[in-house]
Amino acid sequence: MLMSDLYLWLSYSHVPTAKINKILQKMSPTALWDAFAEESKYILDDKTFNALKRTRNVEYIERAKQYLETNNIKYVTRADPIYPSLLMQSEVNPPPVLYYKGKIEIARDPCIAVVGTRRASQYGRYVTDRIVRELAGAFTVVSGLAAGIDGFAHTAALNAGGNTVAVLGSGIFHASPSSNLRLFDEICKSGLVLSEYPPDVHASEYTFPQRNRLISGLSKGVLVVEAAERSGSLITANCALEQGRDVFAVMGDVDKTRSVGTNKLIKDGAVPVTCAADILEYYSVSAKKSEPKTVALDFTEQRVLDELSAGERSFDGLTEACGLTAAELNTALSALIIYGLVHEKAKNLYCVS
Amino acid sequence: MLARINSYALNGLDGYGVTVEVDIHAGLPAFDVVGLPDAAVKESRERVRSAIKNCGYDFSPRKITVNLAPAYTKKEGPIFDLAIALGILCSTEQAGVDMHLKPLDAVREYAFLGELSLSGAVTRINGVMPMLISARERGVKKIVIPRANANEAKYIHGIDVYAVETLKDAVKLINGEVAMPLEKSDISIGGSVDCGEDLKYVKGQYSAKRALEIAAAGGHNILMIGAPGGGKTMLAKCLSGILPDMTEREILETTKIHSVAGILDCEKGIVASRPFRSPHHTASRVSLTGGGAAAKPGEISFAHNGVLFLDELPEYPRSVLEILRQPLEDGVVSVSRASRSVEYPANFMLVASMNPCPCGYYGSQVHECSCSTSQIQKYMSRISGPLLDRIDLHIQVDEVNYDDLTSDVEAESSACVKERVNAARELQNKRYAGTTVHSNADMTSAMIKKYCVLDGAGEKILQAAFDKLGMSARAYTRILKVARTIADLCGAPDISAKHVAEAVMYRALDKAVK
Repeated sequence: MLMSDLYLWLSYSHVPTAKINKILQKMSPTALWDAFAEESKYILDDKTFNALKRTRNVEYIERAKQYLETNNIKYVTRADPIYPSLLMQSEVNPPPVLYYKGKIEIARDPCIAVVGTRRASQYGRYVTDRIVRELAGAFTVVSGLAAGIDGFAHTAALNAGGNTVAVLGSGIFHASPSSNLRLFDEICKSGLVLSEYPPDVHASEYTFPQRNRLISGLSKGVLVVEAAERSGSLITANCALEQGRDVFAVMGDVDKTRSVGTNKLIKDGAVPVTCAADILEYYSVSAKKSEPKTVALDFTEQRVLDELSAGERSFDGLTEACGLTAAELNTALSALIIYGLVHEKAKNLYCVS
Repeated sequence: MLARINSYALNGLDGYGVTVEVDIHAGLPAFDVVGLPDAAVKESRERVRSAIKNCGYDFSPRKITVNLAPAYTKKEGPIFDLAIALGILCSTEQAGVDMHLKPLDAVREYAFLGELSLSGAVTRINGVMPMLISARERGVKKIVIPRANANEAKYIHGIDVYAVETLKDAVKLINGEVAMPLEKSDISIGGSVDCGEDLKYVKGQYSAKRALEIAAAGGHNILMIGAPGGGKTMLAKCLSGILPDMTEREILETTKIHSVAGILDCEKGIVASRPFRSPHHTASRVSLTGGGAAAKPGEISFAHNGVLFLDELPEYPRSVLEILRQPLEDGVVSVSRASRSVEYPANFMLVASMNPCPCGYYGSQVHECSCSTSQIQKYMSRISGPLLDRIDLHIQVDEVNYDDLTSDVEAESSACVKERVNAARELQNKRYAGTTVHSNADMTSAMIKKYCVLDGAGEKILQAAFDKLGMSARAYTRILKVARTIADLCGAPDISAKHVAEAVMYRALDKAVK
């Protein structure tokens, strides 16, 4: 038996990863397979024993391999050199097999996880977009394909032409939520979708917290953008601490429920982050600088840009400050947005990009 | 003796002549009305009996048969009361005869319309204006209407209209007494519009006000998105004050519909300012499109040449919103029922408002939104793509901060804005003269190609906008139409890059899709 087939056997037995890793501390996969009936009885409970026994069948494993191949799902086992090395740490509780679609090699590049609430505010969306766009030049962006911040992080990374990894809490056939399925397809094409579960496994309330340990495990650090007091992204932050990863958090208003979690993380020692440079400097990485665009601005556009350089302004505020009519201001703002010099931060609120 | 009295009836907005025949003969006392009368016509027996008696005429028990010819069309409403009463008086020889009891000719010259009260007074009826227009086309020379309808009748030239107050007045007419027809007057265009709100009282919201101005100038449909309390409804109410003056054609079109529906202001007699209809979101489909057994017009036809304002758009049932699609495209709605099929004009400007999410505060600077991404998506998806496709401008309306509310700076008044809007509409009227299109919003594809030519710079900025903002293809023609209106507001003959750039700003939803 090949080592990789043995790991596939362990994965397909659906025995929880933690239990498998406990067994593997005592005996190697080869030993477990060879001397299954005699020795393992003493160290396995009945349920685990039966589960492993059911799938301990060369034909069954061959069939599983064929099934994966026909469905175009690739896998990497702990025996393979391409298996992401950061996951091998025992605190991460490395899964025997990772099933994936896309480019597995990007998971070995330096990664940063970007996570946050599913109920993102417009502020969260804006901040994610802004930070991830810059981070994507230097890091692979890891997240969990959930609605809200996760989805925005993947999208921003793709838009910036960077690499992104989506770690699923289910088998690849049952990716959720449905609102992110188009994003899922895009990541399969130009990024990496990863799961520790065989493709047919449905998500459950236990699989999502498990998935979080892989998100942090793959990454050097975890950035929490927005999180309420009890949020799944705080589980990811905890995993990161256990695994010795860095935790970054975006500061938010003290009275916003969606920032309670992140502000608490900062109080507890997380690195406060206001821009991508904070993370890049922390790791002494320099992002690929995009050359400053030189655009010929006309008088009103320049005036609006100067006014915005002093800080964000609302539309009404700008009208009064620049002494322009709504028509003139809309024309100037539209041009500045199209040139990429100004950003509509929230509705009718503008700032310099 | 048999008596014949001319009257008139409506089918949709078209009229047709009805002859009221009354025959009195020997037999058991009875009073029958035949010729497919509805309940209101049947009840007219009671009104007619009392009115005749209370005017001092004789109504002795006899066998009376009333026929409303042609007998195959359904007759509705109380408009035949006057004709039936006169018919009875004529056939009992109490009216319309000379001293030798010979029938006079006068009775055949007139057509009579009017409802009777028990006292014999002639009271107001619906649909006088379309009936007069149609009667004139069919060669009717003299028509008698209730005095209460005189105001709407005075604008119809080419037909002699006599207004009566009581049954006795009408009797005098058929007895050959000389009476003066109503004096005609011309429709005066423009003038002050008495609307509730003025733009000068709206603090801040410069961008939204500008978008309203553009919408009014080009007849564009507009959607306002914003948190509760942002002033969306107030902005919409200001719209009446800045809409361009109606042309005579538009006034007549709209008045006809309002007259049929009985919602015409008796004092004014015509709809001189653009209608502003805001049906509540519990409105049924029939109330919007029109219908019922009588195929009456609905809210979208009442809003013809004016504004249909749908506050809290996602609260309307999907089925109700979807029926707007065809009228938005064609400007008419065809109401078909088993008994009849009627086409009503419905060329309205759709103004809608909505919150960005179920709790209303997504993206708000002041309040915190408590909705999940999927909730927001679900809320937005209540409005279908095809409907959004027909909305040219979508704008964000944000909450006003306290400083703006209390500032004394008085903004531009509605009257100033209206002047610019009128000028822009004037340009459009000239451009589209001789076609069925009246505003930029209604432009056909061929017209877009002809009138919305972009120069190099404009082409470039539009291309950049699509790349940068990830706009959908359907935004393209919308932006061109809006850019045309912006150019018209500037009085510019050609669309320049500046106009395109501004137009791009009023596509809030396209930008959000990114």
